[in-house]
Amino acid sequence: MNDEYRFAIGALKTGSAPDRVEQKVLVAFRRRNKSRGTWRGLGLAAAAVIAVIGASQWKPAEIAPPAPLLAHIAAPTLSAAVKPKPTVAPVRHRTIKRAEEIATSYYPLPGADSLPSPDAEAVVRMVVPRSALQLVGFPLTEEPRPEFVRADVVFGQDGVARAIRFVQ
Amino acid sequence: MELFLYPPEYQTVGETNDADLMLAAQAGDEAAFTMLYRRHQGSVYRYALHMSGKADVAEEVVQDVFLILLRDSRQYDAGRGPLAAYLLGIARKRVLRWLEKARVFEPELEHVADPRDLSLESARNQMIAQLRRAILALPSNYREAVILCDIEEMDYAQAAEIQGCAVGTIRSRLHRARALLGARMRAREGCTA
Repeated sequence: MNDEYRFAIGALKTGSAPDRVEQKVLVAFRRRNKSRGTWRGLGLAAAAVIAVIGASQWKPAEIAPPAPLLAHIAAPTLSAAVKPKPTVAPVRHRTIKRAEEIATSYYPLPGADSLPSPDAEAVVRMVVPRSALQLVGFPLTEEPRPEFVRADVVFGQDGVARAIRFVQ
Repeated sequence: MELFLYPPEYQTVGETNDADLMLAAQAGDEAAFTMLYRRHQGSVYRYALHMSGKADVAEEVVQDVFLILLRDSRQYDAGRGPLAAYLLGIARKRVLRWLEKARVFEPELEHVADPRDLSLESARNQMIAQLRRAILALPSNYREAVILCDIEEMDYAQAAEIQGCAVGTIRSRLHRARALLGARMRAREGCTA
């Protein structure tokens, strides 16, 4: 039986689809390639049209220079306590209502006299401990007050603070 | 890529691997696709023929399998297995669907155009025809195991992957199928004697 089985099975190992099946499959292959080529051509044409339209309507945007983070201002005359005009670009969420502010004059910080006078200065609004008031000679009362106060600090180009004023 | 077409009987798997041919066919290379077709249509055809017993069903399955390969060629992942197994997996689904539609499967052997069948009187050809009928009479799982392992000479692992079962299951199905075939062949020999 085994030999017969092997022999008969061997005979079943041959056989293939008729040629007409191959022809049908190849026709489908060619049709698919043709349609793919058509779609590819249409896609390229569409891309070219879009590129031409885009190029004709494109104008270079005017790029505004970035706003300086800190504007250099003229050094305040400490003795005259001239209010410097910071030209920092206004930030919406940090809008400072200058009209409602009450500010002191600028006071030189201890040791500022011995520093070389800077070529450029910057004013930075910051929150400082209330003890800073005492630093420039303001008396500290025993009344309950906020722990921190707002101040404009004048920095030289060397990064060392020169003067301060307090804002309320 | 320049490809040369050889008649199926001269093709060897090592010439150009299926993955390269697939890539070339995807790029529109007809010679590559033709080579793939000629390399694999035989096994798909024989599988469908011996499973269904009908040449027209086998032709339809071959056509469907390669049209699906054309349409979804990117679904084939060479890393997951050989193309032959992938194609037979597609063929299997088509054949099983056909068998379900056929409902009551009549294991009647349809005449298959084969020059050897012209002299069916000979004992040799009678034996082949008997075996065909016996294979068609097997339960489909057993039939499939015989076709994949004995006719298409796949190893157990490949056959198990196509059938979606364990290697041990394939082994036992094949063992049982061979025993059934042997018994049926002996019974027919007894009848004819």
